[in-house]
Amino acid sequence: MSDGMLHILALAAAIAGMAAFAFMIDAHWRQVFGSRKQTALVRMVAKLCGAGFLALSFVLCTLADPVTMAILVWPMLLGVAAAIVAAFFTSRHGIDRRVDG
Amino acid sequence: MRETFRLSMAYLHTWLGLMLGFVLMAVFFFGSLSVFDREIDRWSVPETRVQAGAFPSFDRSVKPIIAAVKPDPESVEHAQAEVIGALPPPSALKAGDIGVYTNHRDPVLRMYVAFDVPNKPRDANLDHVHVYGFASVDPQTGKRLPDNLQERLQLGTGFFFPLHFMLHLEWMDLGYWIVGLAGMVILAALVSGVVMHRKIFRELFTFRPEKARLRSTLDLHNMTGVLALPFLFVITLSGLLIFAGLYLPSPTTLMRPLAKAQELVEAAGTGLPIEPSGRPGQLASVDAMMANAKARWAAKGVPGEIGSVSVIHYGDADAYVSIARDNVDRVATSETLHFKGTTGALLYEDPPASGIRATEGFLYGLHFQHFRHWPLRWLLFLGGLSGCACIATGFLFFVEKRKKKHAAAGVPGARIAEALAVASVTGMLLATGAMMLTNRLLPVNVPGHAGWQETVFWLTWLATLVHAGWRSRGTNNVGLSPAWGEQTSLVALLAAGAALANWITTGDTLLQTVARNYWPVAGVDAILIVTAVAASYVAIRLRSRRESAAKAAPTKMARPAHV
Repeated sequence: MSDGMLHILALAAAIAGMAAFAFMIDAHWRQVFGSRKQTALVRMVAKLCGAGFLALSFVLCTLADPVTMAILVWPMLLGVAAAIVAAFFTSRHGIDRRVDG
Repeated sequence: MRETFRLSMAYLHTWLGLMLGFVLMAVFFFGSLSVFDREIDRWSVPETRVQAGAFPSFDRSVKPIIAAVKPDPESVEHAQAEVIGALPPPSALKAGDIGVYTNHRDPVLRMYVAFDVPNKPRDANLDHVHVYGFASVDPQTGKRLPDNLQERLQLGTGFFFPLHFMLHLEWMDLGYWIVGLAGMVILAALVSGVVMHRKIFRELFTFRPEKARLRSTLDLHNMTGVLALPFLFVITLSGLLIFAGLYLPSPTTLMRPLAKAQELVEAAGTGLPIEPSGRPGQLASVDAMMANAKARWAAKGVPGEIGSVSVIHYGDADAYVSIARDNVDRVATSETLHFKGTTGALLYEDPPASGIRATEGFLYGLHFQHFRHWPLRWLLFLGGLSGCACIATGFLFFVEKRKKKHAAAGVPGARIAEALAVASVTGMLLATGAMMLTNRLLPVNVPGHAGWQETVFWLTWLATLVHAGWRSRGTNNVGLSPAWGEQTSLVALLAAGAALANWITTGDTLLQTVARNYWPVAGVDAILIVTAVAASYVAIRLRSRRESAAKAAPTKMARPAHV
């Protein structure tokens, strides 16, 4: 697999991880699942999935680059992934407001 | 106790950020541009728009040029101020050390000759003072580039990069000290920002543009600061460490005898002479040494293009040649091979770095970014812009929070802060755009071509401050200053104008450079066009918001007071 493809997969895993962490936050959970209850089990699963996907993202980075390079690429990808997840919730909030209004 | 501490941190964060945020804005913005400094160089000096080539033959292309390199008049003037007594005439100065370097992004081989100066330095902490001469070589042809081309201002490495770390304030190294102070301030601001942020995790993914301006600005400030926090912290720390020797000079001042003794011990271990022998010596084939170095790197399985060649004690029997790799595959700087100048025999190979050296090399390397990793380069560029967004939204928050209060009290504080913020955000973009446009439109045969570009930059920046001050005055601390919108419109015009001027003066359009796979110029043009589109969008939004506010204002005023 090419380095470029590994970087794309690493970003995708980072987005999945950040999204899972975001679902642990009540406000974002409600944005997506409405009034459906967020149980302790769901929170635990979200936490584990988040950590797992972020770890997977790091492994993919190390497959694409030497470790000394990967430890720079990975946190930068995490920042981009978190910004993408935040942009999703921002747009979702805007859509909800328009629908409600 | 906890709240008092949090409030103290908030106070520290606010006021330190306000006082040095203006400097930090420039440091981060021009640092971001410096990630692509070589590419901006290609854009600003079209004659060098060729593909980067491998390091050419030293014996055929570099060695014959050495004797023709003359001491640079500016360097002579600088050295004269640093030594006791009058310098010998430039023609009498003898070449001491030679440095030649390039990298995979640079199609120009840069070269310097350090001429020995017999005079004693005024500063007792200096061993030697040198006068420098410079030359550039086209690695494709191996020919020296004409002097008029060499003297042209390369906007990336020649202007934006030094502005990033010393603000072009050379007097008493003032620029370095201001930037260093600003670096310490941002470290304190990052730590205090984390402490004062009550919901750092809960609001990590939160941006609410539909909320009140103060709330949405704070959301964006928090988000850009927190998401880029690791980058902002490490890049600032590494920047401070690069100039640690300037900020904490004790190893070369108070501890000088110890440092000299250490230098002698190290020289005895490596066999690399500190001083020339005084006996003349003929330099052996450097090409053979380069081939030897490449063979050693190939045996280790690492990419083996030459990055730099230095000849120390040139023309002396004790001369040695240090050869380093172009570090395309790693962040840290790599080990160097040293050869005896007169025989070409390997004298010493730097051992694998110790833990401390490796950490230093990593921090140094991540700041200078010599590696070939385009995704990482773009991510670092975005990280720098995220820092700019964090600082700019910090300014906006400060100003918006205080406007009503200051308007009621009749004090101009918020208005002044806003004018400074406009000048350091949109004003800086305008100055950069004006400089790039001048670079493309000013004929190269105009005397002082480089100086004119710099003058346009500084005068434009000053004009944006005057404009921002003048326009903020009329607002009486109500609403956003119209200067934001007006300057943003001009940014759009200048960015589009610079891309257009590049097409008119060189024939290179974005489509053509993309089709030719010539990404250095395509990238700069693409960024200019994206900037023009984004600035137009922002300017239109600001204008419509202003018009809506203007329409709403008379309605409010017309309402009876008792309603």
